[in-house]
Amino acid sequence: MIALVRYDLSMLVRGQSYIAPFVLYASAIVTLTTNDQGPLPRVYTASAMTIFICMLWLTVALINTEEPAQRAMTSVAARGEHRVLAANVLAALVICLALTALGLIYPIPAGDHTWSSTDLVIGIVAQLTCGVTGIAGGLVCSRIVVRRTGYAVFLALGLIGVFTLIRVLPPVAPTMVILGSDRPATEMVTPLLLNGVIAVVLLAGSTIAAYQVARRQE
Amino acid sequence: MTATMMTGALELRDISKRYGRGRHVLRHVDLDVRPREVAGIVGGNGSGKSTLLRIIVGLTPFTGGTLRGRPDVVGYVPERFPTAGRISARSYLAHMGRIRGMNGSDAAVRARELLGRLSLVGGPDTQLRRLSKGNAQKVAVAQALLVPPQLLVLDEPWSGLDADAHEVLADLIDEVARGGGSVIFTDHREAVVGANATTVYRVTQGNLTPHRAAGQGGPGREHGPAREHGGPVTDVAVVELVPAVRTPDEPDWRALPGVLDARRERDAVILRIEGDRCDDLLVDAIRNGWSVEAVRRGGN
Repeated sequence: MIALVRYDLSMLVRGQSYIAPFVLYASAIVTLTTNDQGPLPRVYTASAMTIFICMLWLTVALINTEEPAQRAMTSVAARGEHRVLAANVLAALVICLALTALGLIYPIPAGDHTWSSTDLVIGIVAQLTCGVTGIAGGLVCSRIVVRRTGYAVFLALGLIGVFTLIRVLPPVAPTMVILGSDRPATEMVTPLLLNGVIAVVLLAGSTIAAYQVARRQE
Repeated sequence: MTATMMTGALELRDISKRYGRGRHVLRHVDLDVRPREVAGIVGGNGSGKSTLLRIIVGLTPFTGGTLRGRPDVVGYVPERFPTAGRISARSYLAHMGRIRGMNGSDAAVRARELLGRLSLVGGPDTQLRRLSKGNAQKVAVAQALLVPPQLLVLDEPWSGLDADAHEVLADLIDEVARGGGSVIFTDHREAVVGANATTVYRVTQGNLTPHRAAGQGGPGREHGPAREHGGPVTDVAVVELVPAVRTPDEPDWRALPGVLDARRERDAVILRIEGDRCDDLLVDAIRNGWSVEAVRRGGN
């Protein structure tokens, strides 16, 4: 599995399709958090929202790097499409962790904040929740599910709209609401964790659905 | 090169495949492929050859029947290997080797050996996206052979390959079979299938049938004892031509009717020809300033 994840990341980096979403993420973090003041959880609203969009984009880029014939060879070499798909998800999680670290740490020296370990936990949980939801969305927008690029773009935009604009639909919009509220940081942890659990369930469901649809199209 | 482990026969029984409520792509296919057997499947475009191969390697689910005996180590070469990848052939094969359980250095050594034998134009550091169809096909063949496969499945592997690589690929298939592996390949040309397979099948509109071409049956490539469903479909002759004049007219040998393979050895041209086309080709060659150095019937 490590070899597959390494292969996925290598193909993504060499293909350079990671650059646009990564630049979007980095510039959003720098623009929205530099010289910011106030409670740190509110600052993490920007990074959580951005990581959702960027992880969706990066997951599509990661999976679409391989042409179908190349993916077929990889699947045979790895003894199953399910292993290749699992490696895709793990590789996306590795990227998500890296972006989370950047979004977590950069705002602290770049702004003027008093912060606690609870604030950092909130930042980690919120970003991972949104990043994992982005991966789940990216799986269903990738070529293995939606073969036409145009339809995939519209589906991705639709998912971003639905998850960010419908305030009661977990886990992305409620996470934003919690981060932007005035409640004490200690009271944010539990509801954020609940949204995190929902994000993990979404990712599991999305992975199974993507696998089933891909098999059905064969 | 030996297969990592001897396996039992690959056994397909009553395999059918249809997409949704559409027509059947494959109907009630029965197929047995034993170790050391090279099964060639001939059929026209859209006959179901590629679908059958994808079912055999586990990429495509089937809608009816049973499949038993698929070994752990399977090598698969699709009909085309289009890639926009910026990764070099060397790095790609190193990754594929690691995915198959090799360590990086062993994978690199094996990749270098295979690409050397297949004469990859541009060398192993060429990016995949810069490779021609034939050279990309060589990389695809190499990735399937990094670990000696117990089952090697190739979809029209000769398409796009140059004449020298044709011979090397035939040798590689031979090595897999001699090492105890099974090989299944497709081609739309009966002569190519007959010259390289020990057992020949035909796919027509989703039906697979054992096949022997009428009036033929000389020895083709000999891989092992299995010849259950019929021998090679054609007689093959190997002809060596040398220039009889200073600059003889040289046609595109591989484009001539009946020529299976053409390669050069210094001034000589060595052709593998369908037996029944041999005399006509020799007459034309002599008229164009060539001299016949040797003719061997039934060889490879």
